[in-house]
Amino acid sequence: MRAELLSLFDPAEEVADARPLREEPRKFGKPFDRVDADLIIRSCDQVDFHVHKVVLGIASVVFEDMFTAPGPPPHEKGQDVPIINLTEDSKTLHHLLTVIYPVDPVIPGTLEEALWLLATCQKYEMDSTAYCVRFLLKQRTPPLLTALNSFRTYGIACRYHLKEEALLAARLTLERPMNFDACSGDLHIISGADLFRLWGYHNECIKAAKNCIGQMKRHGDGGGPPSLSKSCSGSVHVGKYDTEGLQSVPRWWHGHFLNRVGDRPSPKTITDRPAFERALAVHRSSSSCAACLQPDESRVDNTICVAFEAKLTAAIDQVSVSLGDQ
Amino acid sequence: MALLCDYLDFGSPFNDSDADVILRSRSVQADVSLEEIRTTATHFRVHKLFLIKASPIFERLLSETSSSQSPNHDKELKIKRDSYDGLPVLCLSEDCDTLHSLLTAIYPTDIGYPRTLEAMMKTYAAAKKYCMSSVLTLFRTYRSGMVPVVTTANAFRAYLFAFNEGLREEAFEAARLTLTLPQTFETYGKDLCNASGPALQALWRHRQASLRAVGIGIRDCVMEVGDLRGWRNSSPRDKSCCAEPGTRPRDQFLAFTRRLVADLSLMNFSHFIEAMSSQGVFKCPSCKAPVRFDLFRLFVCLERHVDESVERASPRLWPFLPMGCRRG
Repeated sequence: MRAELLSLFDPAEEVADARPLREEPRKFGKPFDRVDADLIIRSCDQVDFHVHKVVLGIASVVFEDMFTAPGPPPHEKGQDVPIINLTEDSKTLHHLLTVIYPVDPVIPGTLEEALWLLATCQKYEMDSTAYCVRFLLKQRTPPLLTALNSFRTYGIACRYHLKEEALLAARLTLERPMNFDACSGDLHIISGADLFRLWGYHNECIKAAKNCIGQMKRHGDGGGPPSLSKSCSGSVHVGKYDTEGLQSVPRWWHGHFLNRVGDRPSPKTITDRPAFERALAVHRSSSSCAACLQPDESRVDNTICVAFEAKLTAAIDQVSVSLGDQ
Repeated sequence: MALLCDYLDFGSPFNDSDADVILRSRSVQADVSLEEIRTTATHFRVHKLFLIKASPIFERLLSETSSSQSPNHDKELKIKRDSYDGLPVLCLSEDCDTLHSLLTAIYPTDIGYPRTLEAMMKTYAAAKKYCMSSVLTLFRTYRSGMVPVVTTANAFRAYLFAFNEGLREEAFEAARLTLTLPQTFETYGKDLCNASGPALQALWRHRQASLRAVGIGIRDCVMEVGDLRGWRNSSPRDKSCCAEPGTRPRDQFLAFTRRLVADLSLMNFSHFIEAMSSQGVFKCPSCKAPVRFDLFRLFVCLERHVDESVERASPRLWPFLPMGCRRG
């Protein structure tokens, strides 16, 4: 599987056979070299991990079924302990075993390694292990999954039916325009069908974001977003922005947020603070709006943006992206 | 559940009694019930001689048929062997229509040319698979004299068909046709679902390189036409006095070419006329008399430069299309 992925990441690179014919198996070493181990799992690059059936059986439905199935276990000449050859490489198996054994977990250092690990968990039906891996990955700083590699992550996640990662990546792609230029570098990884579904997801999110902003506006007065000082006039206290009433106050920023939806319906992009401050400055200079000239500016800006971002995030979270087989 | 297959004879001219081999088409599902799935496959009773002369692949396959060591299954070509009515059978992966087109091209009979885009690509792919180069040439030559099956409207679909079938030449031609449409999700629509990642990336790269070539062609044209003084209409109605046409005609021409780089769909004469006449008649800067330009000649010049530039760039564009072309 890793070889297949490698060929995806760099099509020009010839992927060497991960299992040279004459290579002798070697032990991984501590902590997977205990003498009381009752099973050896061998990676595709010929590294042996001495493990315990009971641990693997608890962690994995597939291993559990394998151990309880009738028939003699596979032995190698001169070996007392059965050996199972796996298609995963030693790095992936090491990551996997450190999560299921009571040792310090070794977290994948790259996005690709993380996805291989999750795909392996899925393959061997190791749900709780996958849960732990996801939890550990979420704690990682800096995060492996970013808007910058979101198209790539989405493509790989879809290929290996990692629904959760596909959705996370799809949400991050909302920070980028949905066009061929934006994902050109990752196109070879994403199938056309997955790309088509992602495009549909983007369109749904644009609709959801606009609806969300529209509802907040309608909730207030039912009119269009005012842009002049006259519309913003009146006694508006900073404290008011902290209340639920904020979302029903018809202000020029409804229009600002609507304009920012554009082709990037990410709550983070729509409520981008510097963009909001620039728009506020333009509004003030063009309208001399007294209502928006509050003394505690950063508090006002932040409160408005935070409130909108939360509302938008809730709306976007309702939109899902389907994988091909569902 | 039982899987049953019925064999249908194609009939004349592929039912001669002196036929010495049967080509069996890919079976298609005919009926499904709770107890069984029925499929049908078509038999073409043909003569080894024709196949051997037309295709080195069939030559190998048929020589293996007569030897006792021949494998029962050619995995690379997806061909199984069988026997029926005392004749050897080659079970091919092509459908009935594709086989019919191929066989009519090598038999002395009326040729069954593929009519649709899909049939055309399948037949070309089969001809390529069996190394029937003369058949491929025959179909391509025939197609070039007909109303084109691949148009701007279906160019993306044609590109995907060709790419997936390993037809590099057809993929290249279709990719070129896609240039006149914007590369957007709206344009490709559901056809995207048939695309592989490598096919999309190859098309994107091809497009970028092609658009660079278009830009070079436009630049060459702009250099040739200069300030358009040599492109005035020699009509007797043109009574302007000055030799220099002023800057406005050239400015409008340049504005059109700039829009063209961003959107190649504007490359047609009506758009050109519209752009050049959008701000009224050109007038002589001195005497203010109307100045007319030979817009058709000007457009042909532009088109020629762009076409030639893309043509010159073709050898550099080909490498963008080989990856996914399986047998290309």
